[in-house]
Amino acid sequence: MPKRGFIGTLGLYREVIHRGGQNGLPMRLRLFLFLILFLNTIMLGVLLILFSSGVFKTGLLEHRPVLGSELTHIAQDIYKSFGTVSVQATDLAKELSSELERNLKERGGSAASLQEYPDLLECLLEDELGRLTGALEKSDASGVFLMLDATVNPALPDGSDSRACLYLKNMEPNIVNGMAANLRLGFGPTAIARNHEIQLLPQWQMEMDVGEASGFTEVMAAAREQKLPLSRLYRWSEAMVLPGGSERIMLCTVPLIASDGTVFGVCGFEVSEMLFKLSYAPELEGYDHLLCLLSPLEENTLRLSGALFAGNFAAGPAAPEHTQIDISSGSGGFYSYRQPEKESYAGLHETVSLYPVDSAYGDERWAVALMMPDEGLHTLISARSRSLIFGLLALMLINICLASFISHRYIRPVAAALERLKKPDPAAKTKIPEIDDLIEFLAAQDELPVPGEKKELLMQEHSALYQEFIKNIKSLSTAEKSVFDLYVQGHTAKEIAGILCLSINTIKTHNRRIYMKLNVTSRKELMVYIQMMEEVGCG
Amino acid sequence: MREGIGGLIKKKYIALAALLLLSALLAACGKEAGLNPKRPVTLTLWHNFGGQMQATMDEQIESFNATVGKEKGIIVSVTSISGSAALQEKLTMIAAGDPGAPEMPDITTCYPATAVLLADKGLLAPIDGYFTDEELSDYLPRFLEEGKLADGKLYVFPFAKSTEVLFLNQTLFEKFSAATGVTADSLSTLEGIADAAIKYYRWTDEETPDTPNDGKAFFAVDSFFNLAQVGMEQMGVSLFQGEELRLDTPEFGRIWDAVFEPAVKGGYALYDGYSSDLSKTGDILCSMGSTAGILFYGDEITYPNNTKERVEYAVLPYPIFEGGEKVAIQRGGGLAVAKSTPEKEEAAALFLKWFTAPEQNMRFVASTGYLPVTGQAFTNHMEREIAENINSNIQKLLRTATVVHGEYDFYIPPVFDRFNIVGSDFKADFLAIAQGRREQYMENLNTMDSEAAYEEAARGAIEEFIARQP
Repeated sequence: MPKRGFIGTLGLYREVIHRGGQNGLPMRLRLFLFLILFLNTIMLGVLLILFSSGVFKTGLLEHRPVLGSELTHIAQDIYKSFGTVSVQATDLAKELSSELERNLKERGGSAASLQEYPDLLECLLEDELGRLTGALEKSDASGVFLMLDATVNPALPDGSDSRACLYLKNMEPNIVNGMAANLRLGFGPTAIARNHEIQLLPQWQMEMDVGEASGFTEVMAAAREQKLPLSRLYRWSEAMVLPGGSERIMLCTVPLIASDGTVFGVCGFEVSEMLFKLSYAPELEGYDHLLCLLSPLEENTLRLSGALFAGNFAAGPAAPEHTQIDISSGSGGFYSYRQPEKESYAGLHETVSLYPVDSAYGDERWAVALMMPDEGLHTLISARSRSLIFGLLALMLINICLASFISHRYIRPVAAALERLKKPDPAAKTKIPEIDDLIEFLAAQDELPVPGEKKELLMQEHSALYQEFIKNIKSLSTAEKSVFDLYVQGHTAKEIAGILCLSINTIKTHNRRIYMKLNVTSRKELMVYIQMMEEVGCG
Repeated sequence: MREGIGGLIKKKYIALAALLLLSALLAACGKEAGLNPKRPVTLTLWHNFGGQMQATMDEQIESFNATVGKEKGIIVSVTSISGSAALQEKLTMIAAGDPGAPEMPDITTCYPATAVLLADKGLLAPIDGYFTDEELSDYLPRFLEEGKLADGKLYVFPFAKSTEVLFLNQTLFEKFSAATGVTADSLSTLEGIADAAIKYYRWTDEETPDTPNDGKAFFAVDSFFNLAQVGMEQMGVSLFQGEELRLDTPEFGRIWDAVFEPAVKGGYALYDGYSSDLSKTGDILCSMGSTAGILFYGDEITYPNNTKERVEYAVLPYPIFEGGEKVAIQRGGGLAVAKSTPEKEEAAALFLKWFTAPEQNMRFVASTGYLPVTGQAFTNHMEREIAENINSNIQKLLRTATVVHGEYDFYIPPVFDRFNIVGSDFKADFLAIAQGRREQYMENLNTMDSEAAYEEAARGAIEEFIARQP
């Protein structure tokens, strides 16, 4: 009986190797090897298909469409959201221009002579507080501002750079619920804050120092030079930190233009880096090192000093000293982003339009980029290949176990049948038709007469055994003797059953007992002795 | 029997094959339990530190992400920064399961009163299990004690603890002192401050003889509720009996008198905001608030005509009521960890451990005005930090914090569900009554002298206040 399972198969291999393969391979090993060959050929075929379809070679390419799709999604969101803020800022500028002009007129002033009424500035700003907070609450921005081209105290040494301003910041721009905006005053008269129960930011200043934040005056100057509609005059600043502040922000600034064309201030919205991060952090599962940035684009360079970041800051080149990053073609359809003596990044970017084509700032290019450190991308690819290799190894292991199991199961009945051939039991069946047929064929062969030469040889060689046989005939019972006599008369087992009116099984039982008492192992041997009896005349 | 053994062997092989297959698949999937730098855990964090403090938080968090976080596989991501009150309100919404409530962050700054609500709903994970007894023993016991809830487990990890101190605009005070003889020493008691406030109002009023009763306020307190709690403790009694306020006592009467009279007479500013806002414009000289308010003071004040004046501040220990014990309030929350996966909880605990280790803790303390949370930081790092810090306001604050740490007992406010509401009502009622009575006082001045006007305006005020409290 062969041993079971994989360990049994291993034992057989050991034995074959030990014998040096002299006796050939047992059936079970042949079958095992055949199955291994078969299953692994199928696996190899699958591998070949995988190779030919580029699964192994193009780990990079697999990430390309995933990141590409995420980039498109984020870039569209940024385009829509920043576009909406631009439109809202333009609308706000129209409303404020008109309201401030009306207010000034009522108080006997005009936009052109704004600086002549420093005492009015606080009132003008306070009157627009509701409009500003309302606009902020409706927008996707983190802050709103109104700056007038005048200062409350022009006599001060830094008066030429100081501008009356109302700058409100929403501390929770990402929270959209029933609660009113959590506002803080960054710039503006404290009286306005106190009258409206608005707290000050730690870096609060009464007026804006445009010497340090030149973007405001640049927008006013551009509006004076170019007679364009407001929708062509708004400008998105590069990311920056306002005087006294600590958070990086981008501002959408729109000039305030009176009906006579006087540019008398600016207004607009703020998008803080925190808001940008909360809105546009990539959410791709498994891409933990991915970061998103909105950056000014110049030729093949992203100017990081003016960019907002979202995503994993730890992986990002967010430190202030990293002012720019060069773009070049990388592998697998990715771009490579390099900084001198710093970590390199791989990723994708696409330009995003923040202005109409005919805007005063239409030539300023911005890009949304998704990138991760090179190391991060390699980790992703190797993790994927590792999974595939482990999967294939597991499959191979399953193949071996299956081959061992099937070969064992298949050979077991064959081996049992072969065992049975050595100890014939005509009543037993192997349930394998071919083997059962073989056993019956061999049994039938046993019943054929033995050729003359062999008889003589047996008689001479086994005269002693013959004498013993004759002696043993006396030990047969009456029934057995009847069966024996009929064999002597030359009848077959079937005929004997008919003559004695017995079943064939009873005859087989008698046969077994006759074989045992006469000490023969087969019908063939019995017939040899009967032949000898006839020849010596004992019949 | 033979078949039985055969069956057993067969089962063994099947089990072996299954085990091999399973381990191969698991290895293939690579989903190992625990923290893994290849597959980082992202922790969302809410905090209430704005402005310069936000920059410090960002810097510290980036530093963690780039070092320990990178090594262990943890990314801390700040997803909300809001004012303390707004943040607690959001957490309360989460605890109540309000519609529209945001998703609970993995780590949040949290006060014990809010933590109780969250822990009751099973939303918080106890943190003490992630620390050894030795590690915990270095944290100041009273800070740990405050973070333990009813089940004795630590839910609010000490992190940004503060106390209250007295901020004095020394530059302006010196002018007042020179003119009136009021010294800074007199500000060591609440009675002394009340006296100085009334004198300051008169002194500033006299500067414009043509405009009567336009004096300026001297003092403002961020939280009258805190002042009342600490004042009672200084006098050896408690403001609370269980969850009820004990206001009908001579001790509370003393507190009321010390604050109400100067408030009505104009020496105390009645302002429902941070007193530092009034200091920035020179509207007051002296204020009482959290040590963490130090960054709001700066080094200049701006007058309504936009002229600026450079000023120096003094940071003085919390004043006491005459004859009272030196008791100051222990304020500030800590960091609470949301109940989550074991990996996230472990990652959060690792972050807390790193964040409150003396080196990181002192960096935070040195740029925010909060107090160190470990004994090691107080004893080994404080002196060096005082010597090295470039911000003179922070230097002064740390010196005073060391004095308060050594000489004062700390009062820990009670923790119960309605505590925040009781506190805000207490403050609002005081401001409303004092404001109303001040207007009445100003009117009375048209027909009466100052004392009579006050007597008239103050009549029944404390009773009205007590009647309004639950």
